[in-house]
Amino acid sequence: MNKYKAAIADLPKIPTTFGQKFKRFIKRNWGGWAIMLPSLVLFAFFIWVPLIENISYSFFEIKRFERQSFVGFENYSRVFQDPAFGKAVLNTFLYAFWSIVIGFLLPLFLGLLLSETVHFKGFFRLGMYIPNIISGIAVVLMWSNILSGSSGSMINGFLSLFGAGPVTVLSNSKWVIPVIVLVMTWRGAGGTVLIYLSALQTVDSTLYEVAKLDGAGVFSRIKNVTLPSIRPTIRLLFLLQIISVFQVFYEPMVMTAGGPDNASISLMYLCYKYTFIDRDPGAGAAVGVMLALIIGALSILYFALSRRTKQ
Amino acid sequence: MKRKLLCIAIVLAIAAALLCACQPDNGKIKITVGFWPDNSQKSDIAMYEEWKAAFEADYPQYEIVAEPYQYSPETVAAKGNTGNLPTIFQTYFTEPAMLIEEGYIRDITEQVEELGWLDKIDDSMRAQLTVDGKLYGIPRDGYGMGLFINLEMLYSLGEIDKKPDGTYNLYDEQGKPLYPTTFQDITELSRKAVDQLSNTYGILILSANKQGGWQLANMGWNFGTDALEVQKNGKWTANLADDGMVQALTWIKELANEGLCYPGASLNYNDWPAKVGSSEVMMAFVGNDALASPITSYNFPKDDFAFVPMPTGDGVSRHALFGGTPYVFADNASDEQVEGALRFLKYIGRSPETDDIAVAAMRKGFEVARQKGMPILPTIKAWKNEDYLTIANEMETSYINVNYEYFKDFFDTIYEMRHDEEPYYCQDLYGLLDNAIQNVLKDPAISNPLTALQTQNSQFQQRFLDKVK
Amino acid sequence: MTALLCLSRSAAITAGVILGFVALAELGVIVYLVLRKRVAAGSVAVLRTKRLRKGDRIPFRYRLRYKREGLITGIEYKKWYFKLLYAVILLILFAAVLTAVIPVLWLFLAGFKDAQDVFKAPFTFWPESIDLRKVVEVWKVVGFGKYFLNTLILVLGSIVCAVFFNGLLAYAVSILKPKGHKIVYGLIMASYMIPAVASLVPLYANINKLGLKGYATFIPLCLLYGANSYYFMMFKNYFDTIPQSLIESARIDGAGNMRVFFSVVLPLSRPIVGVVSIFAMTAAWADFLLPYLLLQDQNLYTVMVVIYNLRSTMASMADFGIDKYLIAVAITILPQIALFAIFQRQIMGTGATSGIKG
Repeated sequence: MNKYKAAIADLPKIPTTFGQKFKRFIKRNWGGWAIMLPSLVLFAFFIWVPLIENISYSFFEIKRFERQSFVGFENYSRVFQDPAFGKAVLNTFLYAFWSIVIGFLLPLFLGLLLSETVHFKGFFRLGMYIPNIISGIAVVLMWSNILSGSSGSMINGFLSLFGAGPVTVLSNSKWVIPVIVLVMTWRGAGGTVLIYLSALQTVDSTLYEVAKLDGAGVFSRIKNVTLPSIRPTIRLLFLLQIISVFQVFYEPMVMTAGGPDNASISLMYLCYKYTFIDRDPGAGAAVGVMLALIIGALSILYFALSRRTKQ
Repeated sequence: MKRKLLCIAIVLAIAAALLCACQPDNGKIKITVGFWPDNSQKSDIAMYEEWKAAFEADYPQYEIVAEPYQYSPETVAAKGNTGNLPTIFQTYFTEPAMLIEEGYIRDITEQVEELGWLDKIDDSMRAQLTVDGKLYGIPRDGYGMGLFINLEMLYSLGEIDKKPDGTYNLYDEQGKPLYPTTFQDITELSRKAVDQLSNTYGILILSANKQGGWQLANMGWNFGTDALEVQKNGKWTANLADDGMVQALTWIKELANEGLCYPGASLNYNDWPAKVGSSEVMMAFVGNDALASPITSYNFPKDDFAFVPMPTGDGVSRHALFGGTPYVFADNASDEQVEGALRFLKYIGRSPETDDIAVAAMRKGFEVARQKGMPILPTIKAWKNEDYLTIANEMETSYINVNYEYFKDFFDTIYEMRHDEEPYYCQDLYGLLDNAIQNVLKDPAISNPLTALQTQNSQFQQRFLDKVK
Repeated sequence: MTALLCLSRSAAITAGVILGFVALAELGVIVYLVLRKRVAAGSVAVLRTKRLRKGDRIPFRYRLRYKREGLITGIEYKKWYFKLLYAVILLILFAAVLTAVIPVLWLFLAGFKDAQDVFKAPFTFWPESIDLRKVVEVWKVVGFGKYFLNTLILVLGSIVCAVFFNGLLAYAVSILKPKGHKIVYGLIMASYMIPAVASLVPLYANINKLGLKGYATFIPLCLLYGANSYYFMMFKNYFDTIPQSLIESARIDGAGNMRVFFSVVLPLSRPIVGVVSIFAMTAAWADFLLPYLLLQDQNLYTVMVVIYNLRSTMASMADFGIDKYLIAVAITILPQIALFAIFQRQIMGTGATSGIKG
């Protein structure tokens, strides 16, 4: 009799009460959670908590980076009254516009050309990729010297070949943003070209044959075959481009300090400037919140679009 | 296997590096010195090591810990908020008010008084370092703003002659200066320079990194503005759009419009030695403490420039912006630490003391500078006691290795021309003035100096000056 | 215990230097292998057959004639205007490569001019002489050795954190799937696009509150890479493709969760570990803002912080003009080029999405 009892006790119990169910739940899942825990702590510390806290910071008066007293929308109203904020928002759209014109179209164009060549392909790929391997600050420091207003700087030396110049592009409020976008494109284009290249290589060549039989010219083939075939890639890169443009920071920080007269200031740099140069972290947090909202909205758009693409 | 070993090596290296921060405690009072020379200044470090050894021999209860720290308003918070500021470090004269407000630095009145130094500090510098009757810093030295002129260019434009001994003669028969003394003179001279010299601009106007504002403030004073912050009915009011300021900015606007000043609206103080050194500009406004730069780094001949007083705009107002470098003490430094740090100043020749140790240290400083091939120019002293001034001036004169003729007028007038910087949020003020200058420079033809200044004026009032209680 | 922990700084430096040499040796081996392969490929290249199969190497001058893939094919290239078009395409691409390379070349050359000649008009590209001693001098004056070591520590720490923490999290979400993993996934996706720097103020304040000093300041900077949604996503997408049967069989052998991760999942995921490592490496190497704001001691600076600070401190340094500054910037670029040479295939092969940013 005792023998049977022992055997029954050894069998896994079928959970009946809530307590037993809970125990089984813990037993099955604790391993996974234990593995996730350290990483979750990191995500919380570096991403989630600051994201939430940022909202709270933006409603407080801050001293020595500690929240002192609740001030409602005071930080926001200070930000809104600053002409630099208006310019930063406007500039963000200008950055976006130019990065579409230059940063988005140029790599697409080059990728298209590169996929067509059968000579020096490796050389072109490597050559165009070289700027990509240089890190952000070094690129920016290098270009601020190349674009220097000196009549002996490289840009002015180049322009003087055509009898033009000398120019001080970084001090010209009309040119500064396109020029910064050009520098960003100079660095980023190589990588983007490679992405386009790999997408273009998957385009089915028989489609071109069919189009050719229909009498389609080169441009019509690009329009009707190439572009539709790589549309998902184009859309993805387009959105990534826009989102990355909202984080422009090092370029205005190093090359222009947001100048001339805030003509190149970006939201990200404004946030930094409020926080660390003007010692007004409350205003910095307010800008950060608005930036996060904008990027959040854009990423929702991104996911909505990418879902539709999948379907 | 190799991979595993590599992993272990990586982890060990990281762990070792992370943990080597902890140092054994020897029971001594530590003084961390933030103005320790930068890692790159090898001969200066050797000199400081010598001073450290001498100090620790005389005061065995102390230990000097080197912690080279380049002060910047952007990064001070990281150290300040974590209580990691060095016991003693350098800053600018404009900073104490902010540092006190943030609670980063401490009152040292008592300790300075004990040493008998309190009344030896230069009056104007002491006033700048005193808040609510408490002293917060020890001045290292001061600088006054003046005008740098390339004499070789001035000569080739026919403005000045050479004396028989080959040096330049800066004065006419009546002894009146031939160098520009008004802003109008600068414009005319610049016009000549641009016309007759190749690839040369008249003057360098700074416009970024708060340094444009720093210079514009001085120009404004010399066009007749008394102060940029004035008290009206007991309230501090911004006075950025005052008539003198507008005239000063208009002067810049006209220079830029005619293409007489160096092009660009993002020039800062690091540009001046480069532009002057490569002979791209003829004149620049600089502080007398920075004159060595084009010579040591850009091979500019040390006898080819003059440093003359700031010009006047309205013919009456003559001011030279006067700032400098003070030593300040971390908020969490103990009384003993402050005392030790102050005593250490004597060992590096930065005190009003004139005993053998202090004099030897001062001499050592000159010797090292001479060995490095630095041009040695007169300085503006931080202390006013007679015995110190006699010794310091005497020693300096014996080491000066430039033609004093070219600096005489500046140093003769600086004590009466000096004008302190604005008391509240001065760096923020300069930053906003940068915007006004940039606004004018980016499109000089259509810009309006008055509205540019008015915009910044209201910004300064709202965002900064209103915080002053 | 404390005695054990308090390893001296010199020990750390020695370890770092040894590590550097190991990396260098490996670099040599890889370069050798790459070169050898290339020569071999070249020698079999000459194929004079007209019946070409996909993947065959065609001799240079026949390539256009036998082009069968893509927008325009060999038949069309028989016409002169298509030939002209092709020439224009090549020209544009050459121009693009020149644009990409010349600024870098300028940087490497301009520093060898005298300080006062760097911006002298008229512009000249080549310096009068290239004196490599100047590079050595700049290296010594700036004291790059220490900063490169600091950067190396930061980079290695970041790679370890990036692989370990993101990998484990992805392993749990993708394979272990404990109850509630979908919430975690949702949270990560929700914060996917928003960069950590958008919440700069609290992030900075919180790290600051830890009150770290000395090399301990590097810990949060490395750990930051352990919380990266992008790396997490790459891991998760890859782990999703691992057949469950492999994991089940390891389980039956009695392996625990961690054992499965280290002995089954990670070895199977070598390519993605490589990609994440390379991404983390380049990102940590280029990282500037947080190190700049948080590293408090000059002895802790990373290379990027140093070249940024040099810009403003050079005015107060004796005998350090724009020429030496440009050399300093060039010095910081060299290791990046070296790393690229090592990992060229991996970097260029793996959807170089890092290029889109910045």
